[in-house]
Amino acid sequence: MEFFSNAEYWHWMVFGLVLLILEMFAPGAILLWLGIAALIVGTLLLFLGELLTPEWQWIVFSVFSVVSIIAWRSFSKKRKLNEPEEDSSLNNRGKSLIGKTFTLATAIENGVGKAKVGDTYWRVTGPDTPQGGKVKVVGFEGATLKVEKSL
Amino acid sequence: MELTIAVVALVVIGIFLGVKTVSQGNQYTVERFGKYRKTLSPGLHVIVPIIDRIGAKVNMMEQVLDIPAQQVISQDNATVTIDAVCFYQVVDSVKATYEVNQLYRAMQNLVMTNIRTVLGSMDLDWMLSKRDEINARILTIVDEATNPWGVKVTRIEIKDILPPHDLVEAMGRQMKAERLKRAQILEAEGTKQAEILEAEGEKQAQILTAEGAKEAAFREAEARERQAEAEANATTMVSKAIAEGNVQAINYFVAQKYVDALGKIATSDNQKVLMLPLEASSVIGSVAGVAEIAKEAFTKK
Repeated sequence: MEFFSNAEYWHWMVFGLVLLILEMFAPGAILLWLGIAALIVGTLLLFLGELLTPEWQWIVFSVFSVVSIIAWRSFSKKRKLNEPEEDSSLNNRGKSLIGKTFTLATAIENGVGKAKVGDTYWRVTGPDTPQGGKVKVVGFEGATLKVEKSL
Repeated sequence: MELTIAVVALVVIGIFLGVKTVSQGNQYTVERFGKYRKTLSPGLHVIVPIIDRIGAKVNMMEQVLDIPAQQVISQDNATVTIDAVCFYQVVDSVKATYEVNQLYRAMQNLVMTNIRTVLGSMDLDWMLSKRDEINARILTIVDEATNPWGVKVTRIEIKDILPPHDLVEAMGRQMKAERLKRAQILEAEGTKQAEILEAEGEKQAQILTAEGAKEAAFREAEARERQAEAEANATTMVSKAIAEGNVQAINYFVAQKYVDALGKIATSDNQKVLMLPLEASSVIGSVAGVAEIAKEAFTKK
């Protein structure tokens, strides 16, 4: 309670740093925002001093915790730091096969066939093509590749 | 003051519930009051606390599924123990979460039963020698079956095919017998070949000998013919000479020979015995012939 009622600016600073240290040991980007908020409160206390009562300090802390998350989200969206899945073919097999050409292991009949990809076979959907025909991957849906005839 | 503490507590708990970092290789499904809403890809995400929940954490990396060893009876009634390994990758986290309950168990059972189906329709020798084909067949079936679950099965490999111990022993014996048979056949073939070659050699030798003899005989005959010819020629020449000249000319030669022979006898080492030819009279006769020649010669003059 001592800390709640009369905290010096450096108390907040230390609190923030401790939170950041904890974040290092238990990553999950949860304590990070609280730590940042605590550091901001400490900084404000340093400049404003007595203007910031303990209640306000905590409210500012809460607000900045949320604000820092929102700020980070908009910032990362703007800078494309948090790239969406669509731009990466990591852990996304279908995606990594788009644009490549493969040979049909079984003919595409009624829109469904099989193509040999590497040392395995993928289910493909596309226009009816005889066995051994070349097809180009244009898209995917789950474990099924969408193909079209390759010239 | 208490309100402040409550607000702070709410914010902190909210942050704990709302901020989600998804590490690479995973996808989280988000459920709003139990209903699927969206999927979180790797990175930092904020969900609405309390009303949104993480439903499932799906591993999007390729995974290995061990298929436990099981007994399969082949078509020719051999009981073999087979284990396998299956590689699969979730390609659609939503389907893998909500289309199937206990994906791991479902896949394991699917692979196990299909191994039984495929291998149960083969005989043992085929099983042991056609692994690639077996793998391909099982993969085709399992991949097709797991397709609705958003799973791509990339590989199924039969690890070990273990026939019962006594069967393995019998196989070993069969192998040994086969090798032995091959060795014996080879040996016999070698002997046969060697004998054939030897006989051929002998035949050749005999043929060559016979040919040599034949050639020799031919040449001998030729020589004799030539000799005879020569003799005949000589005789003709002599008789010609006689015809043209006198019979007494022959006598001259003969006498010469006789006299020579007598001379040789006389000068031989054992002079104690002087051999006189039985036909001394004829020698004398020949001398008479010489006398005749002389006479003739003188009378012509």
